[in-house]
Amino acid sequence: MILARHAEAMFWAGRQLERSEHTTRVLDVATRDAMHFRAAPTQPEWILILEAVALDKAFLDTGRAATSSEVASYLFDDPTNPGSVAASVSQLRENIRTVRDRVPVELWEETNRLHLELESRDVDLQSDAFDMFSNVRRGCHAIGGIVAEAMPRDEGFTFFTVGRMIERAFMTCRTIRCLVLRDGHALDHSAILRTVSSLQAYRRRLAHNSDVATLATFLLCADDVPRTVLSCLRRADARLQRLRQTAPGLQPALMVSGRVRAQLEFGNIEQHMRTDPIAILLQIEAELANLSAAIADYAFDPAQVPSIHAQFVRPGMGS
Amino acid sequence: MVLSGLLDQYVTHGYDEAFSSSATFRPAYEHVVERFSALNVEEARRLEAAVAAEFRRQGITFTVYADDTGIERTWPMDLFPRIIEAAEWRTLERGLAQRVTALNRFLDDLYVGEQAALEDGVVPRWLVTSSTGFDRHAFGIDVPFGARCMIAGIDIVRGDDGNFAVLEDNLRNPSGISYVVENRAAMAKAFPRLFADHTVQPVDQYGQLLRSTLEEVAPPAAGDDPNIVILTPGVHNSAYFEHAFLARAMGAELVEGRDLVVDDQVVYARTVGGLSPVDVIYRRIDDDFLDPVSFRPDSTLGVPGLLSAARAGTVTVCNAIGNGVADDKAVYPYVPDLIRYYLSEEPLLANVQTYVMWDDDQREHALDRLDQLVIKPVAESGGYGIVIGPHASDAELAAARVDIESDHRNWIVQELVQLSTLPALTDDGLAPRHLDLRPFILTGEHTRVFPGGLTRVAMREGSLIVNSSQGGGSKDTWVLADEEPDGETESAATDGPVTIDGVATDAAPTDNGDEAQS
Repeated sequence: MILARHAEAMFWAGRQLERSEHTTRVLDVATRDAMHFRAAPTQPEWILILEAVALDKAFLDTGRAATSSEVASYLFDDPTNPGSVAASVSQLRENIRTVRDRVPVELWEETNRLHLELESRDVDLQSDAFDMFSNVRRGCHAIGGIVAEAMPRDEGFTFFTVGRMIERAFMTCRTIRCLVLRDGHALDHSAILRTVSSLQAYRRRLAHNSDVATLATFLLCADDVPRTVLSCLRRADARLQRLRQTAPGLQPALMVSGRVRAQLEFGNIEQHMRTDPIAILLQIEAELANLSAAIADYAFDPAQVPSIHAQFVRPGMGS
Repeated sequence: MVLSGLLDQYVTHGYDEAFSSSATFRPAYEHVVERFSALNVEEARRLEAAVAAEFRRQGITFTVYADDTGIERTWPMDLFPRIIEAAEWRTLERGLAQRVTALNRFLDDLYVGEQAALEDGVVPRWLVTSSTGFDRHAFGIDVPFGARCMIAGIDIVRGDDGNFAVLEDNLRNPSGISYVVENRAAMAKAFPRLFADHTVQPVDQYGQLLRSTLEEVAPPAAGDDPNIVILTPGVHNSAYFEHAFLARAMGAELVEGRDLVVDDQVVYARTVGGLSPVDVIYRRIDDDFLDPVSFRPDSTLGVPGLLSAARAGTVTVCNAIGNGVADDKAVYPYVPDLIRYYLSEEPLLANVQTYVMWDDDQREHALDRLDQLVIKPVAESGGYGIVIGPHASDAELAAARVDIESDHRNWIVQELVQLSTLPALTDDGLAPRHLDLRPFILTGEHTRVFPGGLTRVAMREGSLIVNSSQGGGSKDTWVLADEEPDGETESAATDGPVTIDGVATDAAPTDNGDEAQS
């Protein structure tokens, strides 16, 4: 059975891989579309982009203007931003390093390579942004490919996948919120679909239908498109189910994921998307946070015996 | 062959591993010399840079701390390999197995035996009890087969006379084995054809050998498939790469102190499925940090109650607690006598001539010649605090004299060994640099010597300090396999370890100890 600490590292590695790739893809799409953004000292499209990756508040706290160059560098490698692509890759590397003994050598080497590349290059986002974005995405794809093709389907793989799927579902939810809130901004729906790699799938299914509720329902419930919330939950759920016997502590997590799945599978989502989309999106986001917390509480902290490391008791020094 | 290229300026001083004189290479090095003669400095530097870049990409690094920030560094590997011929290695192998067997007997005698060596005056009792490595917590902790030092690293040097001698024993947490394996992989990549000209004993079986050793010393109740873990201080430790390497090579779990918990004298790992019992802990943290209940209460690296479990015999801690007494530099001068005492054999590997400062005659003799000798504090490692007489200023020698006079127990003085040299790459081509050798010796039911070991090389001209902390590098070390097809000779590769069990030695002492000079 995997060490709880290693399970946690794998879980977060999955989340950080997803975050690195997603943020890069969002940046790539937004930078390409930025020429259509309205010319203003603060561009509301960029605020929307920041919201999509849950960094709007953190960015506004820095007091900087939401312009292409400011937001792009903030999201890509700003040292003050712990959610930047560079920071996510660096955290990903730290987590993979922690489990270096149990993951394929290539997984560690590719992660390390990507980190070293980001660390060593002084990126000029004005001139070589797209090269850099595509490098990072390729690196992330390579890492994902190694996980898929070289890792045994053990507990480490499970926690990695679950972390990745939760992060992905969360990001897709935020993206749908942006879509709903977009409200006439230049960021068009095809750009938003591109940020979640779903434009082609959508076109084939629904052609050029740009009805927001239809789009939102697609991104939540299409069960054959890998970045929809339902697809993510199904994959996470399937992995967690396999550990049910050996890790009974995962029961609460399974309850949460089952609850959200049931809602997406059987609830009338399209109707909700027409009446009060924000409420239901926020509710799903809250459930995803519950799912993450339930895994953390029960799987990563299986202590049945008090730990001195948790209590910091020193003989003769009280607690 | 005419020496050219990188070697055309090569001039030996003292004993050189590859050259018997400036123009004559030793036969074992023929192909290596040939290959390097065909390179120029730029080509060699390019290969060297490729190796370093590969190490960095693979994260084969150690962490250096400065101003609280950790910098990951690669450890430089010099490309010119060291070659040890089969016959020479056999001699070394026997000597090492013999020494480690005796040291294990000594430790077992001290902690769970009758302290016969102290009773019989082989080592002075006061010297042992005053050693910082002598640990009362180790009393009564029994280890299967008396293998208290399962993993030993013995530092070997070769002097001007061409003979090997033991410079230092490392019986607590010897490190460096990962570089032995990774250096070989890097060499195979940089010089693939070179290996076709030699039969070099492989080194990638270390994980397997370590695992079987640790399985042997597991508590009997653990059964055939004991749960083995490696205990690391964590990802920020400078040797973390090696810890991860060992865990991967053995297929064992790499744990930190916080992953383990002791309940009713049994050690458990915290897994996602709850607590899972642990049978063997290969710990890579020092005694002091191992168990905050018994040792340093402020240690958060260790496992509270670990010692109680070890004492109850539910878990084996490797290396055992308290081994520091046997690799105390003050005890080192007595090791040859310990070999004679426990094994009734003459030591196959000599010590470097050492003077103990608590003996009036030896001290007087040493103080008279201090400017020709090496002064070592007994409690330091990593090359710190060493004063090399011929390289020291008058003020340094005067200070050393005062130090020695004020605390006899704390110093030993040794004859200066002009370590042997081997070509190493410099900006002016290959030039002789001093080196040592750290073979690794594993002990479970039997003692096995791993072929080769870590060759450390001083990269500065004339320097005799090879430690990585003092700017040393490393080299790939080749032990050649026997060419004779008779199959009579034993080797420690995978299946034929030289074993000495101390009771009935099947590796009888041989008198070919000076074969190295031929």
